[in-house]
Amino acid sequence: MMDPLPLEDAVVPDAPATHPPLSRREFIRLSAAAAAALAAGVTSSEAEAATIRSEANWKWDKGVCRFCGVGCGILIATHEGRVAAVKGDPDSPVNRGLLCVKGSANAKLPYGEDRLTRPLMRMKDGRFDKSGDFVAVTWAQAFDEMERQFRRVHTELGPAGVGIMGSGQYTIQEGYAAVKLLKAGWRSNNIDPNARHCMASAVAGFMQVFGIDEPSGCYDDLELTDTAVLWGANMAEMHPMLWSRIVDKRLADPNYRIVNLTTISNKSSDMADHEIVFKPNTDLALWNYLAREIVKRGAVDRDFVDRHCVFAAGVTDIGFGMRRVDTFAAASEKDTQARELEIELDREEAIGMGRSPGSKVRQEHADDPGFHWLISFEDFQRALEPYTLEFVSQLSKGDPDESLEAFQKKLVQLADWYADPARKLVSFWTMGFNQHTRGTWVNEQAYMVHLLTGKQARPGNGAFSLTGQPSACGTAREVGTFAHRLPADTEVTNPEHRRHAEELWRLPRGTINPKVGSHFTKMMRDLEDGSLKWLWVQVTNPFQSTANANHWIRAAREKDCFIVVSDVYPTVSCKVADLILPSAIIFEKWGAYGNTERRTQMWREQVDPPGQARSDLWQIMEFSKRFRLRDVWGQQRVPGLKSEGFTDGQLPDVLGEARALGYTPEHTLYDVLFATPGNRAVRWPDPVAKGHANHTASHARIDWFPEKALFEEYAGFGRGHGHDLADFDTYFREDVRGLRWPVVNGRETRWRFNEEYDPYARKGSGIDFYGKAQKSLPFGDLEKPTGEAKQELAGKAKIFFRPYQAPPERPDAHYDLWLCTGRVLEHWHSGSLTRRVPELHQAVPTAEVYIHPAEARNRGLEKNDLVWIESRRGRIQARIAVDARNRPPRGMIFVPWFDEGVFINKLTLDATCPISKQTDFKKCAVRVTRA
Amino acid sequence: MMRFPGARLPMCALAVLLVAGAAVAGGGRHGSDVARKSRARRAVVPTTATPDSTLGLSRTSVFSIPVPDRVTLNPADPGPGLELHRMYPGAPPVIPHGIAAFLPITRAENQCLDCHMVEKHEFGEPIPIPISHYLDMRSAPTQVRQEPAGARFVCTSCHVPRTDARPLVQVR
Repeated sequence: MMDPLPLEDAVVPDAPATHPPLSRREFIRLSAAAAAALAAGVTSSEAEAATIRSEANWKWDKGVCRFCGVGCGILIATHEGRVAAVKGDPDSPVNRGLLCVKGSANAKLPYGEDRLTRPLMRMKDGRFDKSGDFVAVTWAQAFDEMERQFRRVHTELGPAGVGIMGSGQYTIQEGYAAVKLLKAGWRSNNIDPNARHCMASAVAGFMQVFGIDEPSGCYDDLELTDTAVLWGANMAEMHPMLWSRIVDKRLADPNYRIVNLTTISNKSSDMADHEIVFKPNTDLALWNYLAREIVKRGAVDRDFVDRHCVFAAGVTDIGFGMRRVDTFAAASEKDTQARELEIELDREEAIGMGRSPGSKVRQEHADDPGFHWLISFEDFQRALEPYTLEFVSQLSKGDPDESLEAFQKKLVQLADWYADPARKLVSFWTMGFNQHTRGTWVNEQAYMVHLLTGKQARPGNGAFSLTGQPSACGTAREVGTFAHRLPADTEVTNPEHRRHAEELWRLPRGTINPKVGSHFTKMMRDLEDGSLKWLWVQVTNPFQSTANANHWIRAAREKDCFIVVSDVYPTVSCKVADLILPSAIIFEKWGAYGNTERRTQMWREQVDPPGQARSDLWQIMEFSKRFRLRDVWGQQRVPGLKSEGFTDGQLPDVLGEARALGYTPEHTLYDVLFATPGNRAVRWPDPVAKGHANHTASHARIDWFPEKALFEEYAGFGRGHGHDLADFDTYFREDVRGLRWPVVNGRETRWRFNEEYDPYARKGSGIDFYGKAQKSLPFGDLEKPTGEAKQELAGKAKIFFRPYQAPPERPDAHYDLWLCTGRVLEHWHSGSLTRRVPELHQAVPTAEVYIHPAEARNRGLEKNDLVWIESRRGRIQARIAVDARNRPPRGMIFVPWFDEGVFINKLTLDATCPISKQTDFKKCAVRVTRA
Repeated sequence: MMRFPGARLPMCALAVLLVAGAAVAGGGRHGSDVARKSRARRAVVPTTATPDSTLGLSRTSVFSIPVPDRVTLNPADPGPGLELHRMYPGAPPVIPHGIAAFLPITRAENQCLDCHMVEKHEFGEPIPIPISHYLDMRSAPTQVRQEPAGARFVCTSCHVPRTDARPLVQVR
């Protein structure tokens, strides 16, 4: 087993300043003993000895944190079948032995008293009944009803009537199995991860700019840069261990600068050199100001731009991702909803787009919002012209109590740093950009400025999108658990990609459905309008996390639909489900996650799941046994399907061709998708386990290793295509702490697209933006393409011009405050894990309303006072915050979303970026009154 | 001394149902035979009914609007007699005193260090920052520094204070 190297807190009597360097062994002894003595409340050599004896029985193994996208390495201690402790892994290059308080809580996650250990189904009189209460049933009964309901819906609505909501917390193998069951087996594309709420705009930005997904840089940039600019990323709370690296660097290097661009003064501001508080949505204008300055000052890196970039523009009348009809909108929602069809330009939008104020603009391109073309540099420069310091500062200044002069000075300083060729600079962003009705645009704008200055794909330089979830990159994006995706950046709408997947999966030609499925929010709307009636939710809590929640919880309970929720604890989603399945938690199964810097990390099963809880992979494979090919591979009706090679509205019968592949109609999906001859050859037990169990294999009574077999099968999609993963066993080597893909000839890649580091970059190119998607475009002006001829853009990245636009809902006389939602350091997402850890709950027991003292005073409110918060979509109660970690300017409130008791998503607006389909959780209008 | 006990919530009968350890033969179906499934239906299972409103962290209907509890920050001043609690041996201790007056931590001012950066632990005095914190694990992991590692500067990333809230769920 691994050397434990316990590093955590210890009280030692020696004076630190005078203590000589410690040997590794001395250090281990000192810290372990002192920590235990402290825990026991005594300091004695007896306690020291006892601790060393007790820890000696702990078995240690490496793993990865369950929570955010940073992907901290942890060491897990197990003892007598339980997780006893975790420590930050000192050998992990990500966090070097440190963990935030959530990371420390990993050891407690499995042990909340209300852990789900049995399937629970709504029953009346011994039968399933949607109006019944939950009764414990066997797995067989659970799957029986799931199957019966699936068949009923599949018969009525076909593949489009069923769906899966997954997550960026799926292991890579679970996500891959879910995609395969749904896309290859059921021939539906209705699978989408909660990562859609998290980083879909980053994905769309990457695809549009580079033609390939995922960051070019890596965490090494945190130390290699001289300037860390945060845009809508409160890293101090959301990525605390990355923040610790930035703070470390800043304290050691007087030249290093931290800039925090935000709509709310926050904990990242506390350590920043420069805080810029801007008005919601005006980040679009700020980037254009920076780009204009760079051009005006002659700071464009001409050589970089000429060799590696082109300029582009796209349609702007794209709506806000809301429903196009108001049939389901309450009366109070209709005014906002109407802006989906037509907007009236205000003064700032008109200036920013070179049009007249008050003009009405029909939103004609809502169905093709990503449509774009090439433009000339001269047009690009002309489009930037309105974004002067005067215009942008007046539009963007977010704190009414700050002077315009002071704000302008900060913007000029920021432009100085971006424009200075001698200064290395990384722009980081998270939900402030991605959860944005123009989220894809604002991602593209970050690349615009970094590409103009040549500060991209180089050590210490880059625009770096951070993800929120532990495997948003590894599973959601790389595996492709999206409605439009297939593994490794391939897409269902591309005939070559479908054929490639059909070959790798040994499927008949024409099996995979070419019609993009419903994205996360659309699946909710589908439940409401009856176009989707069977939904399986895994590793996520969508009925709490989706904006405008009142609609969806009503739909779940009142419409003709069957909802299955697999989880470890009862959540809001469980409460509106018809069937609850008990899942194994991270350390109770084998798995792999991929973090924000493309680092794939794996762990072994450490302990048994409790009761009848089973891994999501076991659940997927077991349920797949319920379907024979004849059930799903005959001709299927798919309303709206229109694709070359397909009859409109239908999928072909592929059973004939299936015979040619050696299948019969009586084969099950389990046989064809999972227990393939290749997978069965990957044997279990396996020496890599080193004695660790595999409950997924043992409960399935199989002698093959599903997590390893499926990982290797999945890796086949990316190897040789720029997404190369190492082989399964490599990740378990004692000297490996995850590897950043592409891993070619045993070497990981730190900076993609850079010839010096990336084996996929063409030799002699220096920089090669080799992504292939959307790389053939016509030429045009700022309004539209002007010719048919397409230009090939191999090796190039696109510098987009995107104008400032206003969000669909803004404060008015009645709903007079902006509402911004987000997280706090102590809680993860909907709190279903962290709120069950007493220490985290007691640190932050409830979601409070952060409000400017003047706004509170105007309403006669003080700390802890109970208030109503109300939007067009609902009302909830909350208390005025007692701490000051978030300090909104006047005119705005901030409420975290982790607390199901302060159900803030009943108030938020389900408008999305029309390109990425990611919801804007950061902007809607509310009013606050005393309760 | 002010204590913030984690008073035990009365657990409803639901917990008994959910935590059911005894394994009534579940799964049961191996291989690919669909025909055998009817047999499993005869398995005997508890029939106690649990309304959804009694599940989860807010024991209410999803349609109701609960009133959140008042939050009281730990009023204890730093000083002797405070209980030092950890999630488990070796975990960073919970801060046993109120910290509102000492925040925010900035580059110019870190009041945690002002008190805790001491050499020896005397009774009633601040607990010294442990030696692990004086190692820069990224750049010089074996060299004890004069000051805590910069990566550990924001103390509240790892150590959190405690309000008077009762745990929502007990940890077994």
